[in-house]
Amino acid sequence: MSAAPVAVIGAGAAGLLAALELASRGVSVALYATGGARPVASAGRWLAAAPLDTPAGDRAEEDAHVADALAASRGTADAAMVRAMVRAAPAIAEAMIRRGVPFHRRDDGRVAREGGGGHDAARLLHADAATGFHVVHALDRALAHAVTGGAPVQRCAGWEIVAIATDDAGVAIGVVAQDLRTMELHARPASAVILASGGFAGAWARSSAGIDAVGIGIAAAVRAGAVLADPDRIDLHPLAIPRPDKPIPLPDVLRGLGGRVWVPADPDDRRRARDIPAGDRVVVLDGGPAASGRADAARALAGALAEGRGVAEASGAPSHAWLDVTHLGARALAARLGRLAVEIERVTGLGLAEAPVPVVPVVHATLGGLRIAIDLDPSGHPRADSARHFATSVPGLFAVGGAAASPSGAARIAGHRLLAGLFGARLAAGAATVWAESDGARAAEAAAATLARRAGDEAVAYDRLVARAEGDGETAEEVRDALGQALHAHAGLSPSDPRALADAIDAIGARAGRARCSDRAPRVNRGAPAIRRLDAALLLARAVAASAEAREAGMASVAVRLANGQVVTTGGEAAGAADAAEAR
Amino acid sequence: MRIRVRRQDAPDAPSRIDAFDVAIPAGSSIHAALVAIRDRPVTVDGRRVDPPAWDAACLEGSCGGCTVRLGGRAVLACATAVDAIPPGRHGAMLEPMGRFPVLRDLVVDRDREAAANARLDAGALPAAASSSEGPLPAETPAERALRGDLAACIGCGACIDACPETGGGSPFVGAEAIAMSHLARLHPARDAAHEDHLAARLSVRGGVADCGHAQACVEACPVEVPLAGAIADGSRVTSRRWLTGWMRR
Repeated sequence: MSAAPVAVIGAGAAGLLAALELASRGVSVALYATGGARPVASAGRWLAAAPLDTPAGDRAEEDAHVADALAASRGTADAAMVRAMVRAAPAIAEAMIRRGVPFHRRDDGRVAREGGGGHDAARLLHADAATGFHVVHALDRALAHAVTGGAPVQRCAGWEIVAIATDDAGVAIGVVAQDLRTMELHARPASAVILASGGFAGAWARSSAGIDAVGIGIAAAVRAGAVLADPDRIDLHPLAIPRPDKPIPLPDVLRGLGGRVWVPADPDDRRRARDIPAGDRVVVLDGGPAASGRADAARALAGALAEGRGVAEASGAPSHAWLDVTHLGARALAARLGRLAVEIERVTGLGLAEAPVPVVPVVHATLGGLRIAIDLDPSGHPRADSARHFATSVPGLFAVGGAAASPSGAARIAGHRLLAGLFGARLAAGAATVWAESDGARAAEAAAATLARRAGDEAVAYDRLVARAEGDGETAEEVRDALGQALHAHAGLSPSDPRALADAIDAIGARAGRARCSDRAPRVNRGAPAIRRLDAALLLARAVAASAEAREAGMASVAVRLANGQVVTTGGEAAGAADAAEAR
Repeated sequence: MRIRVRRQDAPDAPSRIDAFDVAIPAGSSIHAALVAIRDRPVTVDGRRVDPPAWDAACLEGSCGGCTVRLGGRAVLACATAVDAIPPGRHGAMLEPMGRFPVLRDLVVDRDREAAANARLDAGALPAAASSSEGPLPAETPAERALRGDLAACIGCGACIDACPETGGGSPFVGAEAIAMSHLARLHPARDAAHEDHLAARLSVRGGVADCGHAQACVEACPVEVPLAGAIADGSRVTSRRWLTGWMRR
């Protein structure tokens, strides 16, 4: 019998790269992707590396890059991990160039770099300002090629993670997943589990995240005993185009290129934005190289809109400001940011080069996530052959990308989201390989009985969810909207109010317990997964409230876990110091 | 506003149409209309039904997951107004794409896209790119822009759905995979062996020669991927490969 595969959960940039790295080591992989056989997730408009012609290992540039990250985070970033990541960045960028990501080029044919976004140097590579999209698609094509060539990767497309199974010793031994077409539940052994299922910003109403990005993977890990770090930390964005279904974030680098955010001096000014002269505009966020950091800018804009200074299309409608980048012109915009304006116009009908466009600040991503370790040698380099890189507090469970706590602390600079995901994927693939070839293999071998029991439990639980389809009450989807509003109101753009959030969650939790399943269908059932997503969002919202409360009480870094079904804060541990001993 | 939805419970089940009246602002997306139906799934004749199933993920027109037919044309549900095509007397008509097996309602099995890319091996890299030795060649901004335009494909399936050649169990891979093969051939480190490999894959049954040049894909693509150019280039490299092979005989 062959060894159990390493389970990789999520097929965004981090999950796909982890699968490729594992397969290249000859490790068999089971890749679980809720979205199906096509790539779906694509976070990150930039990839931070180093300026052109920076010699390998240039210490001054490394220091400057790390200093930018620390400054933006006001010292809350994990300096050691950020440094390790920054050191790896040029090699990661080079690997992506080789994989065929169509990075923007200068006239001399070399890969271009942009500045801004919190960087004091031009370090940002991009492909049409949609780098995450292009990286994901390039990695997806590479994986398809590898599979065609016999790589040991099984793609469980359209399967959603339901639970991470652990044995009596608390070691991750497999996953329970549901095929969202047939609704069959499968329990599969795994010699290690790499969670690359993204963050949970989709739990917030009006966030820029995908609608199902509510952290079902993170919640499954927490239920399996994993510790969360700083779940209340969120990444804000000042420049999203408001749309009824979901706002679309523009690259914040547009402010660095001189884009100004303004409101009319007279809130009742009914002229078209392009017809309002400079003298009748009040600049809320100034543009240019000295533009403020992303989170600060988002808060400043949120404050101005909350004061009633914004523009509302109709009375009572949410208000917005205007972003003006028309000074750049269509040609220059295309020369710097490729297809960006074309893509924005395709989806919103708005021409960035022609007229000011409406913008609102949004919750953009979660920065907190599963607490993970990194095993650095005294000179700060990741140790080779360590099983601890990106290990969570559950042995055998690793977390990367949005599922893991960001090394960026409380605020992130441009290009570090994608960089962190790819950096983590490389290291976690190595660590999971080491684990899978030792403890992991033994644990998975002994797992059959436990997994069969878990599969049975989850099948019963699923039947109970579908049975909730009778009656006339509110649906899980409607309750989730209410939860999103509560997060938006009490833990979003305005200063957080942990007690108001906790009270709202208690009320919503009671509604969630009664929430109706919107769908009775035996195939492609959409109601039962919606209840699971509500439950995941609710668990993580409780963690946000607990974390925010602990922070208000003066805790610098907060750890949150489940104890007897209750969310508890344990707090106080240094970031990045997840101790494997604690979990054993 | 009245919205009709073609319903189907399972791959082999017969289809039917349910009509719903929804109160949504003019210009609302197809996605918003389906949310409104989900929240009150009562048909115009007063039947309470299970809400239609549909796909949604990014809601910003970039994941290509939510493609449905509106008035017979494949469009993105998140980026297309439900009244974009003037609804007829019976209301707007939503249907699943027709060139993919229906799983349920508006949800289709999209595996043929990945399978087509795999058949053309569009993820293959030239040898120089696979090694980590030596710098890659430079690339002009114009060459890069063409790769960017091809790589902008969101995999929505609209080109396959619109194509007259992809129906009825046809092996034709469709425009998307041909565009991805073109993208692969434009890698900065491209070489003759790489092009030959990709041209060989394009020459198989169901490859670029099965294109009937109806140009329906070009019309259907929401991202304006240069599909006509990709098909022309695919024909060029497959003809050249055939010719060189013939002359070597």
